[in-house]
Amino acid sequence: MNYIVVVILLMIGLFIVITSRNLIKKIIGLGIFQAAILLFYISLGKVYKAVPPIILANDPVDKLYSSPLPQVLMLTAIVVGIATLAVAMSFIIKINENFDSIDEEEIISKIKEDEFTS
Amino acid sequence: MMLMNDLFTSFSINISEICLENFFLLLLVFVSCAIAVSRSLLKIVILSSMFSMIMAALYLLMAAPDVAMTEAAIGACISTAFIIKSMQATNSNEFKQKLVSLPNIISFFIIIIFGEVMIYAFIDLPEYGQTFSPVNSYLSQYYIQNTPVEIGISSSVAAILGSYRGFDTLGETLVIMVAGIVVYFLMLQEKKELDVSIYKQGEIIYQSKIWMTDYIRVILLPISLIFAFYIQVHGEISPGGGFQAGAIIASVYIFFYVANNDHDHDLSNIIKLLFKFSLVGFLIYISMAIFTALMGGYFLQYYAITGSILGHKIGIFIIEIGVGITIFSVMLMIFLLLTHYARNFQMVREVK
Amino acid sequence: MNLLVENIIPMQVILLLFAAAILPLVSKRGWLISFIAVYICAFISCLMIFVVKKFGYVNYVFGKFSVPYGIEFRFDPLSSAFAALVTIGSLPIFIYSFLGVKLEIEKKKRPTFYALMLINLAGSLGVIIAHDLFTVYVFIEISSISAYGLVAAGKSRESAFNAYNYLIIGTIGASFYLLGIGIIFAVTGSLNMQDVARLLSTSAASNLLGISYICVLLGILLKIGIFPFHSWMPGVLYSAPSPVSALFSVASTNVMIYLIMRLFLDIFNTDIANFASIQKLLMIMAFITVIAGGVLAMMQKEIRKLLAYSSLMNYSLIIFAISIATKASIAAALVMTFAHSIVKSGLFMSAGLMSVRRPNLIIEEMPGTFAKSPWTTAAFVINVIALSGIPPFINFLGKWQLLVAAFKENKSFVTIGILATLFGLLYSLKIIDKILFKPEPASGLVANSSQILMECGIILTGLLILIMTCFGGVCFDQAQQIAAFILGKI
Repeated sequence: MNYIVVVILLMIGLFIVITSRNLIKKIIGLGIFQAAILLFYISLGKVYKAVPPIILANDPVDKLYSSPLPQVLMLTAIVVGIATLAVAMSFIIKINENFDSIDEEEIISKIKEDEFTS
Repeated sequence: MMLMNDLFTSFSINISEICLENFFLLLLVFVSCAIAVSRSLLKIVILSSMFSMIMAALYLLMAAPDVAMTEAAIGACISTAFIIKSMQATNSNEFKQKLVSLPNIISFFIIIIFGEVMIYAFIDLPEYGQTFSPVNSYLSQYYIQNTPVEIGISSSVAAILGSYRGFDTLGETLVIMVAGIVVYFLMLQEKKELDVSIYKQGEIIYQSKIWMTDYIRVILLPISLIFAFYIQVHGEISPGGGFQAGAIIASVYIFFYVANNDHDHDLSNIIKLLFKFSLVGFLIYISMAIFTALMGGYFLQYYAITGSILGHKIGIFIIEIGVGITIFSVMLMIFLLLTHYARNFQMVREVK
Repeated sequence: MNLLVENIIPMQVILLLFAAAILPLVSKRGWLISFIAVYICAFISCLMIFVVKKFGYVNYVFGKFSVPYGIEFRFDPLSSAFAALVTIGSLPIFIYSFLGVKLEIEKKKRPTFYALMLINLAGSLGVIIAHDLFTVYVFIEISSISAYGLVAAGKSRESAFNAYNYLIIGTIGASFYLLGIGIIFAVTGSLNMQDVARLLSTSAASNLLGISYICVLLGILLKIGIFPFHSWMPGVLYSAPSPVSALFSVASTNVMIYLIMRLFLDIFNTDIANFASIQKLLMIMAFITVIAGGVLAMMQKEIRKLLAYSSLMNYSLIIFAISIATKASIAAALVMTFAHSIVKSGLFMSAGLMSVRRPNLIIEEMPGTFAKSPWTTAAFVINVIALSGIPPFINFLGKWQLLVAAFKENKSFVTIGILATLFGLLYSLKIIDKILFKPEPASGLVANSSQILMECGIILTGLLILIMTCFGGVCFDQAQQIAAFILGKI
């Protein structure tokens, strides 16, 4: 069930990125796409009846832990996601300064006008 | 810690756990569909913050508390703050969008085909929650069994993060630092000099203070700061570490700046100071790597610091401090740069 | 204080990162520290080539853990060749950037600009040397984020918009790569490349592996710029500052080509059911891109856009060569990659030189630019002729080898090489005619002594091409050896 939801979120994220005109909404779609991949990795590491992988001194020998490796990888991925979001926000502000709008089609038409007149 | 372990062991494979997870997953799908259809940026931002909170709850149900904390602090708090500030800086809320148009329908069908192919392939994945899948049995078992022996700390996530795959964490800190450098490089500019009389006219509007912020500031923020320092220092024993602590401290300061939106305060000096802090944080990490090399070992071989397992504890402690400083200063610096821009933009619009 | 000699293996990456972090704190101008760091890295790359020749491969694990449990850095013939290309190829760029950056970036922002360029280079080197699937992802993101920032620093009005498009497509590509290695991680349970190669050769999950290969390939192709994902490339190379476009030709895209070679020829198990159809699809996509790139390049009026479309064409030729996957074609792909990077970086630097006093770079209006500097003219002519694949330069030799290899496999694809050369011939003749043969009185370039440094960078690229041409036989032997090494694992 997890994996089906992962694929659905991937599809929705891609759909938002491809079809939205507003630049900020595209970034949020990209965030959904990346969140789906995070969900995929963490679902790989789940073990039924397991506790988080913190190994205390008096734990029984056959205690079940969930897998720590995907969690470490996804800490990195979350941070990469926010870094991309921050950089994209600064680009959007620069674009707004240059073109006075953040609608993709208006910006493309303004660029074409520039090329036409120069 | 003991309480949390007991809480989890009582969750055997019973219906309620599976139902809760599936409920959250369905909620995720609904929220993202709502984001796809919506036409107002404010609604989208609030929905995306809700999305991050549901993800954090899901991670907790899947026994991944480190990731849940990071997702809650970074995804729900900080990214929402960034998006709202850039909405203010570009002054956009409603936008036009035609959802049913020919290119959209074509891309919809292509995506549906792609999704079907992926679901068809995903059927072959190892069953969800299996104890002996390749992921859970090969490397993870080694890490879990050898963390108390080779590294000497309790949290195997912190052990992998700091020791076994320490270079990935160096790369991750570098990613944050680079994002900070890029935003600083693009957006640092001198404050626009404006006609002072017009500014004074707008002063009543801009110095707004919501009534509850005094209570939050006095009661909640100091507790959050103490909690953040606790998480930073106890990263080796409990879920936590540099990333979460840095993000929480940054959120505390972001709240402070949101509540006191004081236009008299010039932010340029503190932005420059935070930029230098972020470089210093990364330099702490890389200096630790070079230090271990100078001590006669490989890069990031903490064993070489003291010649015993204690070296790992010292090494991980110091690099977590470096990571915490970097992420705190970068997140706060980016927020302040966006605020700086938003204020200039608002003032310029008022003048016009 | 006893220093281990093995520590030299990751030294390049650590040195570049340390220099990048120190630059904005310490230096006001930034050029000297970055140049010294790149010079030391180039020296280490040459050293590593000799070491690999002697030992076959060298291995290093961070923290001295054993191989699948720690992160491995490895120099073997393929990675040492690409590391040398990236570091030696960026030396002329950093020489050029002494004045090039001064003219395009304002003074207070220069140290952070150099820091970003160093981080981009460090990220590219990290992808080449790291032998662990997830570390490669982290370094891809490092070089990408710095690349987005570098592109947005350009002076034209649409730089930020092109950087934004690049960000969207680049992040989707990197995320597909992450998804692909996630599926491989689910099937094998390991992330180290050699370990994964061993586990994949005995694995049976054919559907899943096919999807993971498609995802990884899709991610890498999005970042190279093959049709239909090529929309970002012309805008990015056009609106970035000139040292940045030159650096992209040398570092960013070559790294993706290295990644395709490494993953698909060396690590992944390609005996699964549908891989041949993926290969054919790749060949068709490359074919379409070559034709599209050539036609669009002919239609361009502005020199940087023309160079961008010709980059598109050349990279798709290289991908075509890789997808044929025989020893001769891989050797041809390697030679073409090396030759094309150096030539393209030289041409972008020349475009930057030309843009010094001019607002735009329309080819029709650029007569007689280099009238006063004969060495730069010679280097420029060498680069242009080499780009189009006319004999005697090494690009022609590379394309000839590709033609021979494609001929052996399947006759109908031979037309690609001929088409590419013809297109290249046409637009390079156009450039040479307009720029060189119409004399023009003295609308001079910046006539001070530091212009010499800018020209030195361009002359250096011309020299490199001449050296590679003179030693053409040696180059081809080395390429054949590397190809044999890569394909020998299968």
